[in-house]
Amino acid sequence: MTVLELKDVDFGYDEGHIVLHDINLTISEPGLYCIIGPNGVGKSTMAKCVSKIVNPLNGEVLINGKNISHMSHKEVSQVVGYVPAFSQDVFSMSVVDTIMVGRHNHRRWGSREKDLEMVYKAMRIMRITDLADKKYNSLSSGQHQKVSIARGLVQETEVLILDEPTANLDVKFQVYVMELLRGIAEKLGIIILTICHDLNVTAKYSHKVIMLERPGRIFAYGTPEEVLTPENIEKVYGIRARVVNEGEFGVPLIILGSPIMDDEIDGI
Amino acid sequence: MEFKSNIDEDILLCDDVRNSVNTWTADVTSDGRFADTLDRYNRTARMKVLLILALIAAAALVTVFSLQYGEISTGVIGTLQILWDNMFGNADYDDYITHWTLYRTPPIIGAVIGGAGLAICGAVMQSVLRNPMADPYTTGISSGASFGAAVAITSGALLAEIPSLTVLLAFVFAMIPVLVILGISKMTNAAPITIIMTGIGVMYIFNAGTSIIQLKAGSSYTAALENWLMGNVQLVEWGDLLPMGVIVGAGIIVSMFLANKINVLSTGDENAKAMGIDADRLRIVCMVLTAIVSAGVISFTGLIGFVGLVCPHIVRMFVGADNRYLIHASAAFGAALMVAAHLIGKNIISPTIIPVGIIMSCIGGPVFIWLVVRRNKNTW
Repeated sequence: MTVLELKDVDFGYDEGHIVLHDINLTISEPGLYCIIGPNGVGKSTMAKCVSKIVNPLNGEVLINGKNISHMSHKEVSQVVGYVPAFSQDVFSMSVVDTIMVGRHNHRRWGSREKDLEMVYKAMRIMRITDLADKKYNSLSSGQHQKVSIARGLVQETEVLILDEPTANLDVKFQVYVMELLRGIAEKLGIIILTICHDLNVTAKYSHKVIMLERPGRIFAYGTPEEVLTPENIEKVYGIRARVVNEGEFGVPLIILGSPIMDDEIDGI
Repeated sequence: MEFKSNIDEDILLCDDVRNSVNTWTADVTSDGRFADTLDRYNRTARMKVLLILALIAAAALVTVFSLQYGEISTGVIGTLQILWDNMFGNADYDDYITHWTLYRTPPIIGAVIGGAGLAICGAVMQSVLRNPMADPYTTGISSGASFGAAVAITSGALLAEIPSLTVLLAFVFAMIPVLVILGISKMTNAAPITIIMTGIGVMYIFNAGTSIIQLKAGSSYTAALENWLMGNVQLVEWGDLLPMGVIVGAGIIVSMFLANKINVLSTGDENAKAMGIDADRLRIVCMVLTAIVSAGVISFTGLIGFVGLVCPHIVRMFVGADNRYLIHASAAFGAALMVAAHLIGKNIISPTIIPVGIIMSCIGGPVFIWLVVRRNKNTW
């Protein structure tokens, strides 16, 4: 079972601009984990720290007890997969070849059929088999997103991080993708971390929620019922909310009210 | 809702999602649609390989035609016989046909090697910098080489005794932009835009230096300098072919081994790091590699533009952006194009030989504009 730990992690793009402060987090069980919080609070940065795309200023990120700063990019990528929020290829390959890039760590001499099988399965579950031969740059934003998720899935890692995987998807696919990620996390017993802005989708599908507040701190971590309370939502987002815990399937249903346009809360 | 390791027990999942999740863990090799996908993929790959072989054959045909084309010639078989005998030192060197055949051979072979080398540099640079404008010009390498050549050519008696001084200094100065890029990358980062902008800055500095040298140089050096700056494979001699061939050959082999990683890098730095590739390091390795190859060509042939810029774009329309095919196809196409340009330059207003650099600019300029105008999302 993979264990992911962040210990006293600080991160800043320059010394005067610290994005993450003193992040301490342990994820020791498989499941779908949603990172939520207002814009600019460090959600993507936290995801990038875990996948070694950026290195923390202080503290350590541990995977199964091993500090990733002592691991090569290749070693980290064999355990942690990462799908960025946006990906635009300058020179466009076909959808099959673009997803095949995700098999980079698995490719061996003679592994083409196995790699293509995984690519095919990813296309099938993302419902994009009809796009297989199309060029990546000829697709819409939503189709890009589906291809990117497929590329992340074929990495077959124990930890998969997706930065806003539903941002460009229509309502049906937003729900489908979140259900799918939950199902895959359960079936394969892996950790899937996603960044999400939709509180109701988060409440319904995540096993655990990591709520970040300004300036880049963990405000709450726990089950959706524990984290998504009216008080927490108002404190972190600056918006009044009502939470109905008797929603469908017993998951919290969040009814948003008016925003509180407070300079201090908005950080203006 | 708590974690359920049995997805059938999770009431939040609908049947369609359960089926999808089960598909992910199922064996689909007996699925007819997978067989179709595999078949289509393999067929496309075979087509690309065939296209590369066709380009290699075209390059070979143009080369053989060029080798035997001229007023003094013994035809294809005779020419190949002379070259074969020459390889083993058995040629009849007193025979004037042999003399002329051996005289016109080095520039043609130089064009083959140079075209292949510059084209792979363009293909690799464009992919790793994720920029359709990247080539040895826009990264300052060509300008550095020009400055080095200008110093050597105009140095006069002081340095004239040193053999191949022009080649040596052109090579040395071509590497300076790369060292500057490496230095700046170390201080900031090796992001594509940093590399391109640094290269353009260095290009202007070296161009200014070359212009000053041209202004100060005596008239006796002007012709030699202009000949070099116009890009002329006629400068290539028999002794130059081995170093050129070794540098370009090694460049092609290393690029082939890096092609998969370059594919990953071309999808973006974050993707590359997520796939286990140190994006900055790979970009630097590729920049050094392409700098050595392009300097290894330009130093011998003089400035030849557009091969590195245009060839990968044209080839990409047919084989796509996958570097496993693009690099090989660009090399073959670049070689064929450069030999053809040399052939045109030699014969279009014969006996005056138009340097291949000028012919390439005449061809490359309009072709590049055409590519930009008809550019669509399917290519770049």
